[in-house]
Amino acid sequence: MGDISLPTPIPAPAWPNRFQHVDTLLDAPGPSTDPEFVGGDAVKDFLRNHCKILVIGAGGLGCEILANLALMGFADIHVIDMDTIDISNLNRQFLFRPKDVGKPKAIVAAEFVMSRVPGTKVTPYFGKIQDKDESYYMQFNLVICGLDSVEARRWMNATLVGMVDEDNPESIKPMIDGGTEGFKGQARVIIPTMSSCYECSLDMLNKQTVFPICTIANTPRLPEHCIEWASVLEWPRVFPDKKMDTDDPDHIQWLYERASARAQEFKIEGVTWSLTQGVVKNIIPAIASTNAIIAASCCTEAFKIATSCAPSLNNYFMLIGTDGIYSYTFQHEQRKECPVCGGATIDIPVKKDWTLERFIEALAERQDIQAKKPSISVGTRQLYMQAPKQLEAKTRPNLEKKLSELVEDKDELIVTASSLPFNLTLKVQFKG
Amino acid sequence: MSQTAGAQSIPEATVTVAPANARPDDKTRRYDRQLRLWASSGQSALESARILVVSGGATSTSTLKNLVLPGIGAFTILDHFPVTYADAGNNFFLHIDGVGKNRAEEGVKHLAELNDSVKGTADIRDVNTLLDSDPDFFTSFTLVIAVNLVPATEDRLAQALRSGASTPREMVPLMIVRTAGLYAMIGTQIGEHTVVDAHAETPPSLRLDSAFPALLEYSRAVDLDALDSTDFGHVPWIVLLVKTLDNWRQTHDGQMPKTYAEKQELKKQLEKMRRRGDEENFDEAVAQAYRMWTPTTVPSETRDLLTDQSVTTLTASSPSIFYFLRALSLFVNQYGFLPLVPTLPDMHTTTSTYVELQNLFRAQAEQETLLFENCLKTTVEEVKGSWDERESLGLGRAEVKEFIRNAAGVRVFKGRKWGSVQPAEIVSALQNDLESGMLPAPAAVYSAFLASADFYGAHGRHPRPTDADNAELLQFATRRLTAGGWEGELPETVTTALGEIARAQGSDIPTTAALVGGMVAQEAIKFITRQYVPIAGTCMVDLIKSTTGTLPF
Repeated sequence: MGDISLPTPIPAPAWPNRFQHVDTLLDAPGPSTDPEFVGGDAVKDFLRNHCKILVIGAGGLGCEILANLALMGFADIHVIDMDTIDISNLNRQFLFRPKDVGKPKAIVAAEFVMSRVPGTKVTPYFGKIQDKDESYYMQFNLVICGLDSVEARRWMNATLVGMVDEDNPESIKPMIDGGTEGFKGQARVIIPTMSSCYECSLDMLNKQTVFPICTIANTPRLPEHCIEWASVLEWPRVFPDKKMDTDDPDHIQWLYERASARAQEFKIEGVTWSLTQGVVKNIIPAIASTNAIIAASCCTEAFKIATSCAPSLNNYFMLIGTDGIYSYTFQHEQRKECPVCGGATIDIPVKKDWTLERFIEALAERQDIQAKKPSISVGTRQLYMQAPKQLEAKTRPNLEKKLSELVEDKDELIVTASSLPFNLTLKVQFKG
Repeated sequence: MSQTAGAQSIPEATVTVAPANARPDDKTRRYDRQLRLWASSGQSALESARILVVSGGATSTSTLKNLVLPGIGAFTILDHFPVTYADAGNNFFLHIDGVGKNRAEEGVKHLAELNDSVKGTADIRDVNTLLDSDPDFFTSFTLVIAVNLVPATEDRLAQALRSGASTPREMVPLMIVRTAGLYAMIGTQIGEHTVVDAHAETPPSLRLDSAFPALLEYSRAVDLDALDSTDFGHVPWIVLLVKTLDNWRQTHDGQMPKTYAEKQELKKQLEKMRRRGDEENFDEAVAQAYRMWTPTTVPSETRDLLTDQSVTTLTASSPSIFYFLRALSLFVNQYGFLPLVPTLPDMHTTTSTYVELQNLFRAQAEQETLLFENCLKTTVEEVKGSWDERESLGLGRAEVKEFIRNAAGVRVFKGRKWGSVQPAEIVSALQNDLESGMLPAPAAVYSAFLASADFYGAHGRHPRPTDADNAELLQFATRRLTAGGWEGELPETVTTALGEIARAQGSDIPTTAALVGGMVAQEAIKFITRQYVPIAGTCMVDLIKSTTGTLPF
């Protein structure tokens, strides 16, 4: 981190009536408030002097979450983000200005919130969630996630579920998770081991379009196929030693030109610069207003959980803003065979003529598994290993073999992958 | 409000965004994530918009934040009150250092720094004085948003916007927002609103139940038996479905399958054509089999729209969209369906076959575009006299293609007068909520807001959580609902909502403000861009139950 200095909190000024609005919720219970709620100084003291909350992500949702938490009176806020500010963030990440482009999000956001709302302490960490261990996460009362990646959410979820010690109620850290896409979004409350967890609902995610390699290589039909060809096949062929950087406009330019040439060759229309960038970066449209709604929903729930001033969301709020203001609140059920909070093995149907390679593709495609680049073993026998290099080379011939030649029906496969924060056990069921 | 341009500053709003096939400039990069939703047409509409927000509290600035960031043209905050310590405490766009200064000026200062290309103005006059002296002030905006005003002022503002418009079409839309603790209400007064692109998620019809002649001919020419197994596995599912249906009709006197049994039989015939059983193209065809017997129709919303008076009686001053709709109604009367949109889904086949198929669809769409243009010509000649004016009327070839692509998503909304909701409508909505027995209960929260407004009207202050105030709120609610035909005690959903609204004391909670600000901004963007479908009715937000619900009025 070198030359980046950490911002310091500004001492609380004399501020009469600062919480005049929020206090209406903390002074007296309402008709729906839990009878155990005792309004007044004790709950305010907990919120404003003792409650420690962690915000994961200082991006579109994170900026909103931090501002909300400061105004609601959470005085000890921590934030983790590994990213630096890009110009395309400025249409919604309102704690950042053009002069901040290139600086770490967590640090700039923390500094801004502390200067706008004096008396608030925001402790930033510019790095990965995986840099921290259980002892770090154990210090918080609540965790709010404003992430844009499935992998990071799975890791955070598995970590918090894994921390639960049945004998220690303090080890249960409620996780509030928000996500948006265009005019749509969702917010949910996860009480590790007691409610449905992130992994339980993995199959609810929109299926990510995966183009088969043979389509990309041989029978392109859509502009996207040409772009994938340029990025997946052409780039590594032409630049075997140079990693593609999707943030580098020169790289996008190269991909755009290659994809355009291929599209022309196949008489396919529609390759544009913007589409090229969208496909290779997997860009999800994002606007300030949707982030505001979802972040506010997350923070309302955090406030309700921290103070018990009203019952908290049980457990899923889904917003669709494309057609009026439509939302749906429901209880998502725990999945018995959830590999994180359930623990049973998952049965996986396999066609008899599938090669190991085809099987690996299926693992990436299946909505409730989504294991990318997995290593697979059965018992102590390694079927395919991604690393180290020698082992990869040694197990590579298995990729072309049929899975039915490698394992028996009902064998249990152990799957590990960098995208999976846990080991997955799959029971093979051969079909036709 | 423009600040000195720095190295990364964004060009002025008048600069159009870079075309999608060029390397993006700074402005396009800044707006990239939203341009993927509403494109440059939506962006330029935003950049021409002037928005007035009346009152500068937390919900107001939260709303404006979400409009300044995507780059509206200009905004004004109208507020004559000074910043209090409580204001600085619940509003991220005020600072404790500004206590005592004007709330509009302080809010504008902190909002304008979010985007150099947006012009922000603080107006420190009293809204009521301005309604007396200069009601035209309010009609000079693209959209007016009234937040947490006294109900009487809301009524006057709504009246000023109605009086200032000679036709409903010209009326400036008004959004009326109230918040109280964990509750909020978002209402609208619109005259007429046209959605030019609803961004519906249903893909355009391929009309496989009645394949156009060139597609039918193409499909008939595919001789499945003559194909080797590779080619057989690459016959597009569209062709498989057209062939299967064609064969059926040839052996059934040209009839379509009607009964469930017939449809299943048809599906079986499709399955029987397989050679190995696992051909991907057949998997796709089976999944899409319903398209063989799903009749191509004009969506009911479009059909209703075409018989609307605004379409049947055009005037010389009608906007271009109504010329298109009138032409569409002629087209539909003559041909029975909407002009073909040549968007093919991806399918398992070879590149050359896919391109051939795509060309067939494009050629057909081109033909239908010409037929549609004939209808448009007739329309223009009926109203205007000369087809030569088409370009200047915004009815050029490019616009025609754009309209055809979005035709199924065009909507025209007629709003109603603010304050015209009848007690019986509220009772009916309340009964609906109770009968469905499900979350949410928007009519109960709505009733609580009305009772709270009645209380404010009587006492000049918000109700508090005391027995006396609760009893009075209950009386106000009972009076309103009884007038609408409610008999007996009020349901628990209503008494709970009354209790919560008393507890709230008219407070503007930062998270409620942020959530409502997001929703109001989404709707504002939809009104301004005429893309996506805005709210029709009143949205009730209940963050105690973590729900929202929309009332039909």
